[in-house]
Amino acid sequence: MTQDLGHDAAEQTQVTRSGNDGLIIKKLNHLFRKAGDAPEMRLIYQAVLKFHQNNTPA
Amino acid sequence: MSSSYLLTHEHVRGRLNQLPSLPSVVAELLHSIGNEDADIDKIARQIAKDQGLTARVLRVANSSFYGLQSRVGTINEAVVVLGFRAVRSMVMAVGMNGVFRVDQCRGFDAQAYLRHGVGVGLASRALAPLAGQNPELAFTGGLLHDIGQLVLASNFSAQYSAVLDYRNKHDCLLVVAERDILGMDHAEVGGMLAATWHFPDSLCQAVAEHHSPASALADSLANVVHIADAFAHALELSGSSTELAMAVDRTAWARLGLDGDKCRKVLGETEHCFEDTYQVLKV
Repeated sequence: MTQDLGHDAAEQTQVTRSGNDGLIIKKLNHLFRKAGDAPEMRLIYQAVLKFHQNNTPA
Repeated sequence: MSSSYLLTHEHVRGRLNQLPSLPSVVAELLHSIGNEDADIDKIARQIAKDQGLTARVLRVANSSFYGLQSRVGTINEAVVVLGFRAVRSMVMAVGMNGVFRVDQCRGFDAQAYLRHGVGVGLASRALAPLAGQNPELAFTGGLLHDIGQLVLASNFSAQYSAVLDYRNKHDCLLVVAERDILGMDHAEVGGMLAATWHFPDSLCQAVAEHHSPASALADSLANVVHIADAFAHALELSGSSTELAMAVDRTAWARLGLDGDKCRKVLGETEHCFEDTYQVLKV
């Protein structure tokens, strides 16, 4: 279920699954594997994803 | 798993009663929370007598955590520039975590513990205005929220090693492993320590109820620390390979009125001064 959370968040933010973005998503999906898929967790997931994308060198 | 690892309140209370006393200045600072008549000058002089404590407080005061334009060189200057509450939070945080020896507990990662505590402290400070809480008190609450883990790792090291093994084997949250193996969790144990050391109510609640904020009062610091805990895990600030994001309590979330923009702002503020703050607070 948490995997779905990651996939949905990725689609919503139109992130490509290549290079750094793909690695960030893979890492976040692993980190969030026990966090459930409540709306609050989707917000946190997306906020963290955006944070890492903005702070990771291309 | 052996039921011999189960703990009772009597076990824990017995060990808490054998703990060394808090440094007197830390105890006095605790007492000063909510006490309008506290003699700030006298407390500042007491802090200044402890050279180790003074050095560490000044390192924090001069770090990016506060972003001061000029350096402070004495406790009195720190009190003037940063305010008594800020200095009090620093001294309490530095003084309390130093009481426990956890090196006998196999598998307990003291560095990850402190890194996570600093992350929760910073996130709590950033979240505090959303809940009408004092930011410095929130920082202290965040930094100390898992202090029950130190009690368990230092006083029940074999049992706590079994908890860590169980967590790794079952890929579960630490709090779940604690309940399965010990029959109680670090928040409960931390709450007992907070009561033994006469923490003020706000800090007692933050420590004891950070995993069950729905049962806390609507204006409890536990709501702030609970959400901050989830943010720090989500940012992987502990640096541990066992880090797991934890689900947030919907009631605590609603009480803070969080949305995506506020989340990003708090995450950014937390990350911004994390490394510098950790470096000055680590032993």
